[in-house]
Amino acid sequence: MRPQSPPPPRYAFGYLAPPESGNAINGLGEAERSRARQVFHASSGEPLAWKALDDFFSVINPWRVVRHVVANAWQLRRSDGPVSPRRREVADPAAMAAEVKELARRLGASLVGIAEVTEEDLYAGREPGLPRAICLGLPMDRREMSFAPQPRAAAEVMRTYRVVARIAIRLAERIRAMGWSARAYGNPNSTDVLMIPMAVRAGLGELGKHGSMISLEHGSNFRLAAVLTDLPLALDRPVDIGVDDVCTLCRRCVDDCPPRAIFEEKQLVRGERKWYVDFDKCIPYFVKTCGCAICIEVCPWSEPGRGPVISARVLALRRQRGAPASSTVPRDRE
Amino acid sequence: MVRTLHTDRPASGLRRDLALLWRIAAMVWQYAVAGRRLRREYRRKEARGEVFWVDAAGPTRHREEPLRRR
Repeated sequence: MRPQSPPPPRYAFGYLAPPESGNAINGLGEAERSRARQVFHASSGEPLAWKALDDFFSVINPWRVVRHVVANAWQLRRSDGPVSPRRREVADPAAMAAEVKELARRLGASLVGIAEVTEEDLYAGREPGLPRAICLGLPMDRREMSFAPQPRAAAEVMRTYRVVARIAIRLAERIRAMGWSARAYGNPNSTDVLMIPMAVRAGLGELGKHGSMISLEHGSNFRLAAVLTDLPLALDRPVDIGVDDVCTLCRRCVDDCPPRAIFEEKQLVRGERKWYVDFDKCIPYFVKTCGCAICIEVCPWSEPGRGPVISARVLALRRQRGAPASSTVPRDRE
Repeated sequence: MVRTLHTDRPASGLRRDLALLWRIAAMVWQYAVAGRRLRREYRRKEARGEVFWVDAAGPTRHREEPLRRR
């Protein structure tokens, strides 16, 4: 798809005293590994470098977007709660993982995977203390998203976040009823955890050039939530569906990004070379358009049904070239 | 504003729900009242080709106050 007449990257808002670069806060160019710091959204009203713009963003969003945020905030009161004193013992974490995934799918999740929670999955200063993450993905309505970067697409984004958060809340409740701690994370703007690194390790997809995840099933046209728990579960492994091969050559998101925020090559970010989006260029446009989403919708992987085709071709090409085996699991071998 | 609402505490029951409901109501009210003023001002400046300074008269204070009252 092509974006619907995106406005130019010229802004009628600005900072009198510009804050520290979001790229610097994000650790762009830093060789040392460190934990992420919140820049633009935060959990509990703590000071943020870009808070004034975040506040402005919240206020200029139309009600059709905000109503989903409000409904999500209300339902997330049940993100945590009392744990049943009668614990169901788990002899086989693999069987329990299969059971939990089946439950998550019955509750409505489209993508489910399990990963260990590492320190780097938590924002600096956050200590949730639960060792495993059940990562959930839910696709957005492609037709609604075709309106990106208009507010209609932003409303669909927030609607999907609300629905996937509800699935996470219900899943967490079911786990607590088994006698294990579980907490749902489903607020896209205000959580303690970084969803994408966990979801990548849980095998939901790979990180794309546009800084969002790409899954085989939905491309980038989906949203994440998670349940952190101490329930013993077998972990999933990251998948290799060929995203890196495609993103290295593809320029679609780069060319279609109005503020030219997407780097063509991987960048060094907090000690890791990975795809990264220029925060200082992206966020003003994100604010102006109430959420943009052009890059995730123009991504070829997001075309319904294209993911498996692209992946099969890329992996076949890689095998023909005799490229070294990946350390991750190609999805077609599972 | 409403985007930073977050249920940090594992507390449960009516008291928790009422506290959250109060915060949400306060923030929705601010979105509607202060937000309307701000949106109008921003659109006016945008139409005139002027710049709206987000850190000059932004809505930060009205957003932080309900959070501090928790």
